[in-house]
Amino acid sequence: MIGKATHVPVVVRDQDNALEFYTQALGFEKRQDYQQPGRPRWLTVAPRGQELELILVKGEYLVDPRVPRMADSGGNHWVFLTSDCRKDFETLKARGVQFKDPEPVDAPYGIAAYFTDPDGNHLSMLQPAQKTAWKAET
Amino acid sequence: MIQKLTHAPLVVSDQDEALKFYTDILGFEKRADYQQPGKPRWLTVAPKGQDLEFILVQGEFKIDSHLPPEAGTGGIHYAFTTDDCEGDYERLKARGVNFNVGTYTEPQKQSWGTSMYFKDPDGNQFALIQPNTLSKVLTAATGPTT
Repeated sequence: MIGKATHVPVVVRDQDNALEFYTQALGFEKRQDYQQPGRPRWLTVAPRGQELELILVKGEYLVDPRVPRMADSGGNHWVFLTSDCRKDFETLKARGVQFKDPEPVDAPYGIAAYFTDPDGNHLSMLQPAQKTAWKAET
Repeated sequence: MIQKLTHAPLVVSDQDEALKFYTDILGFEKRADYQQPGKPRWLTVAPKGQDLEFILVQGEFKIDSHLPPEAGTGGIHYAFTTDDCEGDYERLKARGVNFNVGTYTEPQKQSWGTSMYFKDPDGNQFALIQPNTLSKVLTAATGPTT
């Protein structure tokens, strides 16, 4: 039976640039970085403590499904759970991360902040309103 | 602190068609399906028992990885574990799943286990990995668990 997802791709133009963003700005760990002959460089990062890895894949969108950087994502985004959205917002902003709004947004489902990586991939972090319910799920 | 990824996007040209593929063919569960006025339809699916959800986003995409077909997916894929790669291959094949990814068409035996690649109707690429016992032991010894 198909079990859990272990890797999801993020398409980037420059892997070194993306690695710097995901490790130094977001604080993820580098998990794998190697290249077999004739193969693309296999570069993965992950939030600390999460098994799932993001593959930073070198590629270029010929037809781009993403909306412009400061627009709503239209749902096309990666969502991360945070324990403190406002604090992370300040930390990441100080590291030069580009946020869509001047402040985190209060929504019925929690506090959210929307940002982009250097390639224009839309990311968000959410501090859910019902934190205990989320914890129970894991 | 950013703790974990909870949602990853999958771009699809038709959400209803994609929903059928991910639930009826792959056996995922539908997790959320609603639409607020003026917003896109928020449709998510997930493998049973996993926290992570895939957002089936309406859109069109084409990616150039600048690599030859021998490079397989070029790394542009979503990977899943399985406990029975050959069995899943037969089941998914019977349901009409497309296994032509790069030069791959069927399960491959590797030193670390068995793997296969397939595509969804929109060309999103997937790997299904069945680690052999040694890899499992290594993962248990070195890797974090959810």
